Order: sequence, then structure tokens, then C-alpha cells
Amino acid sequence: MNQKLSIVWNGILKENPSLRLVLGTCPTLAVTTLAVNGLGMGLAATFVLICSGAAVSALRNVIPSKVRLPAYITIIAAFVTLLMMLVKAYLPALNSALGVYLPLIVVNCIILGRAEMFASKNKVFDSALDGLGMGLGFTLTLVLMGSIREILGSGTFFGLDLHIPMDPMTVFITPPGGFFVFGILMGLAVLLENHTGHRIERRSSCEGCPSAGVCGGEEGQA
Amino acid sequence: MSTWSQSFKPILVLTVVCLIAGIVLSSANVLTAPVIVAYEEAANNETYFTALPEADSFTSVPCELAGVTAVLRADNGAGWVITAQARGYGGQVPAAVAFSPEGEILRVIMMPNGETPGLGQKVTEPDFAGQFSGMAAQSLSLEDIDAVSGATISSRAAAAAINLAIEAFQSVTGGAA
Amino acid sequence: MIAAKLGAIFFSMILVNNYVLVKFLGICPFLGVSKQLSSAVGMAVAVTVVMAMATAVTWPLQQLLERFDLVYLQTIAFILVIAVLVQLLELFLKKFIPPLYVALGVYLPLITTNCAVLGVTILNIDEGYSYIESLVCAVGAGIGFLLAMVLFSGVRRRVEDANPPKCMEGLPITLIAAAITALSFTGFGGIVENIFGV
Repeated sequence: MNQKLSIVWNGILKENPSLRLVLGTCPTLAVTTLAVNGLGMGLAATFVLICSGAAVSALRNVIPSKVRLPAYITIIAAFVTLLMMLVKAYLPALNSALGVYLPLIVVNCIILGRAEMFASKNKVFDSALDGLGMGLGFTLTLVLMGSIREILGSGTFFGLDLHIPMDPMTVFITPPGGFFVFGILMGLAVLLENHTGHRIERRSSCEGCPSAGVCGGEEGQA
Repeated sequence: MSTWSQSFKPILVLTVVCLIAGIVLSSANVLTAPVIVAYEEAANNETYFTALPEADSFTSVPCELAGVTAVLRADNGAGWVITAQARGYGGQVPAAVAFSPEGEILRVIMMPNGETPGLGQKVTEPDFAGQFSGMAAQSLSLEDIDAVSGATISSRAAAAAINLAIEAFQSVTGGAA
Repeated sequence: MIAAKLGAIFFSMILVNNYVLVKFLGICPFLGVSKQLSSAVGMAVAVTVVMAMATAVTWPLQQLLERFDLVYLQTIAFILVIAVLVQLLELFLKKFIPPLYVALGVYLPLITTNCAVLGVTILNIDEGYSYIESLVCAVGAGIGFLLAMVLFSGVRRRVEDANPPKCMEGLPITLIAAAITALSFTGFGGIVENIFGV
């Protein structure tokens, strides 16, 4: 039981996809202008992570390794499409808030990365748990990013007016603000790691990339 | 045996995966499509009636203008609702404009858009959308409107959408008013 | 009029709606492959080619999907088309233009999962662009990507020499540098519309 819990916990803290593995950077920056959008994006990705993790794991002995990438992409795209239908039908506000980033979950490297690194080697239930952990870790980071940008940039939190006695700093909800907040957050994460002695080497987005073997992952390490 | 596992098995597996995905998705589509259509209709109707609460029901009038999405005449003669959209910062910015039969803008409702929350999306707030009420249905120039500060592109797109609606109004009412 | 519209689309994709710095598409290669100018250019050229090819195929495909009432298969169809195109391009270059394969080959497999490529094909449909407009938009997006990569690889050379606080070394300070680069691009807002008068 403890072991199962540690799989979930692993994704939230030890291998936090956004801040430690540096995966899924695009949605982390793009949709976090509001905390609620970050939450929606995170939960949407969690749904796809759990489902595709379980499906890939269930088919891991059937899919020949030659065609595994196209097969994984097809499976992930199918779940994303399913998710889009559900969101359009039952949460239309989220659909218009996330826009093109909803279908782009297909190419979110967290999902393909976990399919390749975890689900293709582990049991169905464990893979689903890994998806849950990764998804929650991703969601937490997105909500954190979204809260910081929303409070500083619009003076609200989850849409509630905080009555901050100064003009909101609009730059935080513009694209440069996204890069800035993410950079600072990652710096803080590193600071924390230095204190606790868990510093890891960050490779910008190559670690979990299924094609990392090709490019050698030689660049952009932190 | 080796040709089987080398060539045919991968193709077969991929085909089966695609087939299953297709079947699952098409059945999901059958289930969700009516809900989506019903929601869109309800949302549209709500916009129309918020724009022109005096109306009882609407009749759609064809309009060929690019960017104009719907032209509706109130059946009880209360006026018109015209929806149009123009390109903003993060995609199309749609607006619903209600006109009185005499050619006055009664209300402007900015429909949900993909502009930056807290910035460009402020065009949907009454501070911006309310300023058009009472204006004559004549093409607005950009100097006439108070743009949302810091969101020039979104404000301009909103004004362009409203102008399109005005143009459509003039063309369907034969330039009267 | 048509030329002005195409020009406006092209330049706004490069400057105003820059995919990397404004729309946050294709951040992975932007951070990963921008350390050296040569690899940045190689990646960006490969992305531009694939974007143009993918749009050339997915736009007619979308018409077909609409015709048969299968729009809900858009995402799955587009990503498979992109995956197949990248494979074909790789085979083609390997066989017929080996020098180009040596230059671009390593970047091709990475492009399938580059969200800028899938993004441009879907956004072209959402914007309701015509075939020509879509192609211009795709090439513009690619050139914009190239511009961002080249500029940023220059910025990074300086960042590498800098001496930030220990915890900001590497990726965090690179992200801050990206923020400042993105800030410089916000200055282009509205310029393109005024030049082309649309």
C-alpha cells in the first residue's frame, strides 16, 4: 500500500513534471493567466495521463516496439478527443478559456514521456497511479503559477476581488510575465533543493522526451 | 514467421488501435453531440434575449457580409439583434448588437472570447460594452470609443465587430434610419 | 487588398503573434536547442518546412472531415498526418538530399511532438483562413520561430557568461532572459495592422 502511495507522491514532489522534469512547459506558461484556468488545464491533463497510462500499460505486450510511438500518439489523441467532447458538452466555459491548448494536450511531452518511461514498463494499476501523481503535480504547479499571476496581474484570486489597494501589475498576465514567474518559481525550487540536498540536474525538456535518444539531450541542462 | 512479426504485426496492431479509437470516439460523439448543440443553442438564445429582452421570438434573416454570424429580426417588431466578429489578440472577438427599429443601438453584448483574461477580456464588461447604448447605427470611428487601457487590439477588434453589425443592419434595413 | 491581407498575416505571425514568445507554442525546442546558433537555425528551418507541409495537407483534410461530418476526429487525424509527414520527409532527405539530411535529420523526430506544428494547423482552421492564407500563416509562424530562436541564442551566449545567484543558474535565469526577450516583442503590438491598414 505504501508503495502505491509513493508512486503518486513521486509525481507530486520528487518528479514534479513542471518544476523538476521541466516537461509540459507550453501549457504551464500559456494558460496560467488565471488560477482557475490552471486548475482546469491541470485536471484535463490528469484525466488524459491516467487513461493513457492505463491503456498503454494494458497494451504494452501487444504493441511492437517498432510502431510504439505512433500507437501511443493515437491512444493519447483518442483520449484527448474524448476529453474535448466531454468538456464541450459539460464545461463549455473551460473549453473557451483553454482554446487551442486543449487539443494540444496531445503533444504535451508529460503524457508521451510518461507513456514511454513508465507505462510501457509497469502494470496497469501502477501506471494509472503514476498518471494520477504526475497529473496532480502538474495541476498544483499550474494553480500556483495561475494564483501568483492572477493576484499580481489582476488583483483577483479565483475570480474573487482581493481589494488590493494598488493598481494590478498587468505585465504579469502578459506573456513576458509568464516566463518571469516560471523562472522565479524554478529558482525557488532550486533554492529549496540546495537547502535539503536534493538538487537534481535539469535538462530543459529533453529528459522525458521520447526522442531524447536522438538529440542526445546534450543541451540546455541546469 | 519473421515477416509476420517484422511487417504485418506492426501494421495490424496499428490498424486495430486506430479502429478501436475510431469506434470509441464515434460512439462518444453520438452521446455528446446533441448536448453540445443544445448548449450552443441555449447560449445563443440567452445572448439574443439579453441583448433585446423586449423581443418575444426571432426570425433569422440571411446576410452575406463576411464576419457577420447571425442577423435576427424580433417577430414583435422590437428591433434587431445582429452578431458579428472580428480578429483580436487571441482569436475572434464576437459581439451581439441590438438595434431599435429606428436605427439606434440599444445594447451591445460582448460574447465570450479568447482574449487575455483581466486585460483584453475586459471588453465584455459593462464599462466597455455599455458605452455604445444610445448611439446611432452609423459606422463608429476609433476616436469615438473609450478603449480598455492596455488592450488596444482587443478594443479595436470589439469596435470592428460592432461596426460590422452596424453595416449589416444598414444593409438588411435598406440603409434606412 | 489580398496582398495586404497576406502581408498582414505574415508579419503579424512573425512579430505580434510570435508563436514562441507570445503564444507559448514550441517552448521545448526554444529552451532546449537554442544554445548554439547553428542548431537553433537547423531546428527552426526544419520546423518551418514541416509546418508548411503539414498545413498544405491538413487544410484539405479538414474540408474532407467537414464533408463527412467527422470534425471530431480533427485532433487525431492532424497529429497522425504530422507524424507520417515527418517520417516521409526524413526518408526523402536521407535518400535524395543527404547533405540536408545531415544538417536537419537530427531535429526531425523531435518535431512530431512540437506543439507549434499541431498548433498552427489547428489555429489556421479556427481562424477560418483560406488555403493560401493558411500557407502564408504557417510559413510566417515558422519564420517567427526562426527569428525567436536566433535572437534568443544570441541572448543566451551572454547569459552563459553572466554570474547570477547560485539558485538561478542555468534554466531559471534562461527563463528570465526569455521574459525580457518576450517583453521586447510586446512593442510590436498594433504595428502590423497600421502598416497594412487592415
